Amino acid sequence: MKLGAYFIEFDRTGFPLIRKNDWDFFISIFPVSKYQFESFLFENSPHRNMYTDEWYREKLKLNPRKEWWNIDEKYYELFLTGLTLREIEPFLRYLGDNFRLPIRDEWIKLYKNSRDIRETLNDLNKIKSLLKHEDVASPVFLWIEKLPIPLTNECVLEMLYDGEYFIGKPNYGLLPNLWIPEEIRSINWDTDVRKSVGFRILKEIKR
Amino acid sequence: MQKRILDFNFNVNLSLPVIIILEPSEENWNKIFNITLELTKSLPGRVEKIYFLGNKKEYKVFIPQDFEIYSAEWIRENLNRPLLIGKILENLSTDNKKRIIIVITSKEIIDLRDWENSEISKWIVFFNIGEESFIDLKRIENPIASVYIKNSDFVPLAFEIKPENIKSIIDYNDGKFILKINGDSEQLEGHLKTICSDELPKLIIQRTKGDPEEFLFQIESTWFSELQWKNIPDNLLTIINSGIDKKDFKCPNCNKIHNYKTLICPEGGTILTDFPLNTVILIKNNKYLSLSDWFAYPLKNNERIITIDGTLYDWTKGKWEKVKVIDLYEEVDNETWGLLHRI
Repeated sequence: MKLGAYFIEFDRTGFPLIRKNDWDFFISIFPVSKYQFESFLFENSPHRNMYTDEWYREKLKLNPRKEWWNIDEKYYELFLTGLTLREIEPFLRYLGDNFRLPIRDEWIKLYKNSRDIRETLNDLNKIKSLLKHEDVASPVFLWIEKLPIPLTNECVLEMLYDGEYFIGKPNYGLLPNLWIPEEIRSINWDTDVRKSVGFRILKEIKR
Repeated sequence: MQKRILDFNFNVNLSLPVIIILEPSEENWNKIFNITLELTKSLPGRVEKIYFLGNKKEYKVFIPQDFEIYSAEWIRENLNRPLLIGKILENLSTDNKKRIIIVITSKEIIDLRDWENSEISKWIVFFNIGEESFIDLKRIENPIASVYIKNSDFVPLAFEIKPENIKSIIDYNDGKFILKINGDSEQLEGHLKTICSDELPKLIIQRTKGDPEEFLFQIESTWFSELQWKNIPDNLLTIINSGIDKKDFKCPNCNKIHNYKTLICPEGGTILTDFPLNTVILIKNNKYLSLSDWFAYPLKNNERIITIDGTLYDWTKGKWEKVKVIDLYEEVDNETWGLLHRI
């Protein structure tokens, strides 16, 4: 679907991805949420045994789960944090062969177009009745309407594709820090910072 | 919109199907298995399918033995999945069908609060196997609070509802008719002849918990015999015409003159001997019609009705307005007179 200078599509969990005309990738409008990742947990993935009840409850201790409709405060609790690359990869395979984590430049493109994307997504909400209900996950329109989309300024830290660096952002809820979004920080996984690190998904466009 | 007379039938099973959602835990499986097996046997034919928390796949239960035979395989497919219910409830919500959902678990369900205040959450019964070792079936049921048929302009002209122990009462309130159905039965079936416009009447079941469930009817060719206009017997013709003209008549019993309102001769005996009693009689062109088993009869192009107890209702400003109880030999439609033949 084309909206202004952007293309929007939905992944198999019903969450939206966005691409600007001149980008060769779609990137998710939200970091991966607990609601979204749970769609994957409900499937019969070949790696299912990795994702046990005990495993998931441990992850939720890092950053508690909240109801998807409850977005008044601490909305970073909607998003999944604390996963390792090994735990993320089966989810990416589930989404499709051309899905991966973004690299720094791709993420920065999203960040720099944030305001423009915000305005474009207001238009998406206006045409939501045209979308098939089953293609769109329940939280999507509420979050687009109420959250500071695309959440590149204040939400969770986001893991980049090589597994070494993170985009830093001011986030006083999970991890008090004063990073500016463009700044790349290397993180020591041994610290408790892992609880603050989420991830966004990217779909490569093969031209 | 021109009001029409339509015939419907319905056949509704009032016992709700049951869905069971199980915790896929290895350590609690023996207990969960025994409780579920007991449940499938206690609710024969009602357990539709089984789910495991964390998996949206459904496991159909065609006969109670299916669970006993296949559950070992089913639990192997699901062991230790996260206790999530979201996608299961999402699937169950899509068809709008009412069901009892039994969740058997020992722990808090991770995403249950997503469904707080939702309609489907009102249909869930939780069993904590840490606290309860057997399932009290009384906890499962969601009894029927009321069953009724209505729409905005519906009038039941005639109806037949089974089984026989079901009692049907017509209630009139604020310009609307409601056919209330009282009684205890697993199955409800019936036929209905109604006046309605484009909006067809619905059967509505309200249970103790949850929103009302609505059923649309099937249109059928007429089930009820049409009421027949019969010739007024010759010996009553003069009396009837006197009634219509509001004039005294000579009584065939005592040969004395009576006022036209007289239905019983003071010397004994009914005057309109061939007419059925305790019903409205309509008269037109020297013929008569009695409502007999019908509740109401349509008049004035279905914009007016007369009920079996002789009350006239007119369709006015979107309501059935109660006009009056008819007088003897009152003109109720063009060249049609009515009388309540009651002693």
